[in-house]
Amino acid sequence: MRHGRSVLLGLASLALLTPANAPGQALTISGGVDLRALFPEGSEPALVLQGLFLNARKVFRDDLGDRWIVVAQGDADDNFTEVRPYQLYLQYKGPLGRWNVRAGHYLVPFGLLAEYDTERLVLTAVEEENTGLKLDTGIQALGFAGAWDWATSVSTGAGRRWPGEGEGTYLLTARAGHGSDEWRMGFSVLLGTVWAGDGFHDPGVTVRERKMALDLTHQGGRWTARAEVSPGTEDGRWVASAVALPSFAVRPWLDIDGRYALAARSDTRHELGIGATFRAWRGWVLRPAAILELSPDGTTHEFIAQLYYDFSKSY
Amino acid sequence: MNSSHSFTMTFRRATRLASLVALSALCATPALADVCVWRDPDKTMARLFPDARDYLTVTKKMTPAVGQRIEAQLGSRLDDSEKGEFNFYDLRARRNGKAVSVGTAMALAGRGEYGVIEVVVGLDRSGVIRSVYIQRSRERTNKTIRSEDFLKQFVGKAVRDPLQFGKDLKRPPGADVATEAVRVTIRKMLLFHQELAAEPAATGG
Repeated sequence: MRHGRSVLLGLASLALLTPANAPGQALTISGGVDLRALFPEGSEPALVLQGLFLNARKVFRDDLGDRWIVVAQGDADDNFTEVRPYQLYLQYKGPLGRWNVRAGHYLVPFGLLAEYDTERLVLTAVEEENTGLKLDTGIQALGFAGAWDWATSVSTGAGRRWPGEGEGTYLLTARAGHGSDEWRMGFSVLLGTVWAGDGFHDPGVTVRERKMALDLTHQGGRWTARAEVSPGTEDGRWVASAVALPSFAVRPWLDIDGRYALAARSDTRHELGIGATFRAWRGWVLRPAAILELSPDGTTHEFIAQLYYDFSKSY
Repeated sequence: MNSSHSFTMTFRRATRLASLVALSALCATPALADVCVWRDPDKTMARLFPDARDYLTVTKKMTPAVGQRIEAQLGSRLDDSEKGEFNFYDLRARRNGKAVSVGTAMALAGRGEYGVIEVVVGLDRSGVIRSVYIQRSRERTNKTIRSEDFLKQFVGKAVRDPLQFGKDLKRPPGADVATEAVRVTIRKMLLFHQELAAEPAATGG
């Protein structure tokens, strides 16, 4: 945790000590708070600070366009027991963003995560359960050509640990996507040996993974639906995961959200979730959700209520 | 861990949390939740300005006086989330070795019946609309507000035009709320451009 604080201070210095009012340089500070009341079956209810985060984004430009982008985000998670960088990278942006090179600690371009991060939602995607990590340290190239977009990454496989603590891990990922305003589809591959973080079924171990993913996003009228199917191998054994995240706009201030997740390893587990998003007042959002987990061990349920707020300001 | 130690830890964490929340609240504008998050701005700008080589992001702050001027011309109140700051995207190309502006892109979220309608407009250098794009909408009447027949009415219009149904615009049948939201959102962006373009940029543009 002390390590994490040093990182956060470093991030803040990097972003804040650069001259914010110099011509052509934009600094955007955003952040938020994620408070949750948890009512798990068979355990005491708990009120937790799930996350508190601060993000600094600074753009440096030349005479033609925005050119260098620095992103530094620190998160304090789980009642401050985890204080660590969430994203920390430097990006060179080519003309009109048709190609970019990013170096640092970033979201891995695999499946839905390449375009949609559910970190601060209650009903989430399954990247950490599926691959054992969602952030990694390395170099990524990304861009677009017409209706196609692409991303490829070479990283340490250490996930949220320090890159030097990878113990022989590495990770290669690539994704190609195609889409319109209503439909988007992506195909990803992942190859490597990764250190699996807390979200994994067997955390704290290294796993050799060969996986692919097909992701789909549909935004049609009041419905938004996202889905991902990801088969592959872990240490040579076949596994599969899938997730579907439908959402329906009832009113401008109310969405009904759903989630179905499947994890097929030595046994098969299903999770069903239903929730709502109330945009309550001036950026405050309330998200209650009920989650049912079905596994060979039995059925468990949990009720979660999230209070969320975020902000953004440029300097 | 004994209970008094546990209490001390909890108290320290709560104090730290309260300090950070207070700090956040001081910095905060209610911006992120309501204002349009522009997905794929690069792709959209390449589509709106195929002649552009790149773009600069220019952030302008809205003072209360400017906000009141815009509201007076608009004839209605701005949303709270619109009173903080606004981004312009200065599309640029290289001509005779020099980087020059070829137009401006803007994005704003209008309020539809079922959520925000994210509208993007491209203006030429004289402030005339050259293209309109509905990036995202959760309306039942999506096809209508995305139709070329509806959107092309705005092309060639500028802030001096009334931009009103029955005057210089025709309202398609059966989509009153959504088309009005698009119209008002475009009108707001034209006013933002008129009133804010001359203001000093918050970020040096």
